[in-house]
Amino acid sequence: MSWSTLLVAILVFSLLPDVALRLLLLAYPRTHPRRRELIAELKIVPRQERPFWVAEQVCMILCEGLPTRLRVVRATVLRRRHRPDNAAVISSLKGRELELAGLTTLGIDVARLTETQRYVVLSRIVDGHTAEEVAGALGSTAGAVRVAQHRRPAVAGARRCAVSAPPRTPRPAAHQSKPEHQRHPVAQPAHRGGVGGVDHAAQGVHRARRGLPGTPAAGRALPTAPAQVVPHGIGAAGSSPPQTTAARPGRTTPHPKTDRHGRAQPAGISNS
Amino acid sequence: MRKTHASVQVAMALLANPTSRRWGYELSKESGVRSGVLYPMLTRMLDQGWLTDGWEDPTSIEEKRPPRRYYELTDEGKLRLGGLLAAARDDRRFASLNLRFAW
Repeated sequence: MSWSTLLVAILVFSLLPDVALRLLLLAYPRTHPRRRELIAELKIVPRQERPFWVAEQVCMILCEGLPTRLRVVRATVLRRRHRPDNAAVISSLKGRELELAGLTTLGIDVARLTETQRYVVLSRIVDGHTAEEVAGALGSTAGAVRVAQHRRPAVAGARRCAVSAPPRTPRPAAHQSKPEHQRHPVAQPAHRGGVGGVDHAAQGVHRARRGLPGTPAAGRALPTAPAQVVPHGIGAAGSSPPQTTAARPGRTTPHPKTDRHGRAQPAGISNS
Repeated sequence: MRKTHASVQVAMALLANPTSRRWGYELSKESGVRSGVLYPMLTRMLDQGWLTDGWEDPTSIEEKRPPRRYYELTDEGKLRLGGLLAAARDDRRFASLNLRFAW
């Protein structure tokens, strides 16, 4: 380092302590409260004391900020290393081909999913785990799990699927008395207070595993008993009545929808 | 928390006015502890539940500056820091601080 550089550094430090402090605080992680705290405190410090006060912070930043930053970096590296596209995830998918095949009955194109998405879709829809649980298993975040679940091409089928829940004892009177939009909450778009199809499917499987009423069976019922799963889309061929759509009261005929590419889209698909 | 000169001085400054909000710079001035020591100590107290923190209401700030972070003693903090001072009172290492135990 030349003398001129050192001189410039000293001048910047003494004349612009605010700038120097902001540069030093870059050692802290972005969301660390110390960043805001020290910048706010500097405004209280008398102007002539500021260079010395900033110099005091160097010690703290070295002892506290850098280790904190290193911990964050290490955690990020570990998380990336345990990203789902690794051998652990792939091995966890072995032996579950039948369940993966069962997902195709929901309209999910399993062949086009990455290993990550397969794992996430299996865990959330079939096993009924929450996004937080799956994130814990993957060493990722719940937000990343939700993104992996809803990212194309998983989204095409995952949003469409739902678990039909035929009641053990039919209650036609109660069913008829409900308004149309309350019969199948899965068909409601999320912005109207409804739940997304995948979450509802996960809830349905949860209920099935716990043996709660409203679901036909316990355990991993989804892939092995695809008849209980009624897709909402066009390909929902079958003997069961369509559980789709009809989410909006007052609409008697399903309004044909098109997606942004102009392709026909079945009604009832949540765009959330 | 270890019993050191800095921790005893910070405890005295905090317990001098245990119910009010305290600011980092003011605490540093009152206790005579350098801010490089004070802030990590406050963070440890926060982790142990002796203090709570918060941010100043921006609408209440008259000058042009960002909101500051304040610290408040919890009931547990009052007990613990009181115990720390009581223990320091009998310790000869802190004899020079005896005059400031007037609280």
